[in-house]
Amino acid sequence: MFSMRLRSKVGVIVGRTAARGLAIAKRPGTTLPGYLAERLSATVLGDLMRDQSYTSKIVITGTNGKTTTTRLVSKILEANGEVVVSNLSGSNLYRGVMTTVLKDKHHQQDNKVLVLEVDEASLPRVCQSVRPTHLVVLNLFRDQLDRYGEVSTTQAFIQQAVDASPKTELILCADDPWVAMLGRGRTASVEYFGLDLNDLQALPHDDAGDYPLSPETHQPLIYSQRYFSHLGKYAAQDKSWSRPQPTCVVTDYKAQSNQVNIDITMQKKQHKVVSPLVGIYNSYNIAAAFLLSARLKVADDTVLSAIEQATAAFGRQEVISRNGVEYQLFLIKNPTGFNQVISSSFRAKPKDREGTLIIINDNFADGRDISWLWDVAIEDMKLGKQIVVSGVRAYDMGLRFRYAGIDCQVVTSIPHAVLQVSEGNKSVKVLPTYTALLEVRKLLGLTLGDIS
Amino acid sequence: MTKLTLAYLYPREMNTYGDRGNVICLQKRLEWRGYKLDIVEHQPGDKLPVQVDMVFMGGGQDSGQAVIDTDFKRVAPWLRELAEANVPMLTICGAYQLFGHSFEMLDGSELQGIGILDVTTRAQTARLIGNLHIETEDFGTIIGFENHSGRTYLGPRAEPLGRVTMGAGNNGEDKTEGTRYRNIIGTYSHGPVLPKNPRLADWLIGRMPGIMSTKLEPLDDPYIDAARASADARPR
Repeated sequence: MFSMRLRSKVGVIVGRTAARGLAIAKRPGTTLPGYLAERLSATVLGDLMRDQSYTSKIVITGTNGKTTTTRLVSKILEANGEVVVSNLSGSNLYRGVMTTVLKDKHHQQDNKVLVLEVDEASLPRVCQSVRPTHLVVLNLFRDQLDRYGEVSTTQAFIQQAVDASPKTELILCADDPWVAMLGRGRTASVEYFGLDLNDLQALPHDDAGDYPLSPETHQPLIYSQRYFSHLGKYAAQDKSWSRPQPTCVVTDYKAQSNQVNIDITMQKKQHKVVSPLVGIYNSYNIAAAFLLSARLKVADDTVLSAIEQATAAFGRQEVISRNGVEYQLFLIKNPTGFNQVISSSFRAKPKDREGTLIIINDNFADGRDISWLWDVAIEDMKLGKQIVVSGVRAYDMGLRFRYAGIDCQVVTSIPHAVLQVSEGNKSVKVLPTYTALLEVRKLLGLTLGDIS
Repeated sequence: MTKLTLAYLYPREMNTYGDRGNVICLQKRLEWRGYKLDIVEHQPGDKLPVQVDMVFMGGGQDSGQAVIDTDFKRVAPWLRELAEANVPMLTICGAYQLFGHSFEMLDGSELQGIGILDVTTRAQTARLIGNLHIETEDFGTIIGFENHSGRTYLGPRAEPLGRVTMGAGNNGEDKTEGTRYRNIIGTYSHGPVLPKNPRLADWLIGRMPGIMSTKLEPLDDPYIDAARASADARPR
């Protein structure tokens, strides 16, 4: 035991030194310090957590919306006067989490909260060390299947973390059956959020859902309404299991181009929420943050004004103006995320002189498999005249458009593609995969350090 | 316009890794030649279509395969009849396994297939994931992507679809990938397989009963060579 503690101490010192060194060298260093510390002691994160005192430890996971929800929660808690320690750079694997805790300089603060976005596969290990007070699970979609296999595999990771955290309060999405089933058998400390929107329908070509069986009797689930992917109102054929009743419900949704007005109903009280985060998927993120804040007893007014001011995270509907052209960036990672971008931004007639640029890379961080492009409802996109596709797998995207009966130009080099699509246009919607997003932001003069 | 019919088995449960793209591909390649392809989506419990020109079934997650199990056994005699009548079929990954004799689970229990294809599959923990290239006699190089935990072994009557030049294929041991029987193709190749491998797509189209006697017009296929070349240059 003594030697393990000592190894952890050495690990912490090495990790912190690395973090300082990287800071002096002006390098981001979101994982290296954690990596070094972990090499020296496997239990370093757990040992570090015992040394730190946080009033709440919040972990946010799910396929889509982790970064946005983490940002929302952080803004709300900051507005509430708390010192927020968070991995806002999106470094959400075990080492990234460890680096965040290693770099936490607020040792003596007593109103300190930890807000972490955590990758699904890292969740069991992180929960074991961090022992979160609250765990938010947003959704589970097919994503990077080439790394983890199937949705059920990812669900099993999260179930394992949940089972090992009986004291953790769960905040779960009621509309996603994969997530809702995590709360089964939990009598206390579980709350759900969801939508109740009668007019909302999935895109005609939204075929990206993965439908679990009822966990009770293994019967198929029947949907009375489907919002998108496999999210909606469902019940098992034999009614043995159904969507749990959410306590925090989005009861109205109205979108303009740069703002949404939503109603959130909780305990019979209706709240008018204004947010720059457009899209139904963001309403789920807002509802999750709202419910969590209520559980943390943050005053409603504080929550509402913080939500109103919380802008989109890095690459999520991010707007950049350069040389008289307005670029809006939409990170695409998986079919459901892409379909949600289509629902929120490609269903109306495009603006005059508006171009579209789609960039598909297949580097390790993007996922090597690009099959998922064929699960996207490309046929439902309303597009302007100029559509450019780019990236390492530009021709695969070109092929996808051809089979959807849509003409596009293929320009594999990303700088040339940006030039091409900017020509004669006032605005450009850019849909890049992860590594392509980094390259496009660099081309537009932004770096990781610009995340606010 | 001549109408043709494709039975798409279990699109909700058996569609992963973009397998639906194969159906989109067949439909468009027929449309460009002046044919209309009706897609009949078969869900568990549905009545079977009377006349079909092709059958397609994709890969699924384990949960999906459990849902369709009973219905699949019900439609098996119909599928066998179509198979013997030389109706073309494309079966990918999970569907390929279920068209075989059996699937041995990790715990040793056995899931029965419908035995149209002379193959057996055994589950393993390690998944075989990555870009997949195979050499075939009739369709040239097939470029795709594989992601499966089952190891499939060819029976004495089975002919492989091709020989693996990159990736694992059927089992990662004998260099074979997929199988062929009459006009049925079984393969582990996602990608989806048909859009980037038009020779295979057109071979299947050419075997549809409603087309067979007609000569297929070659199509102008922009992007395909370049898409194949960029996929070919990627690491495993």
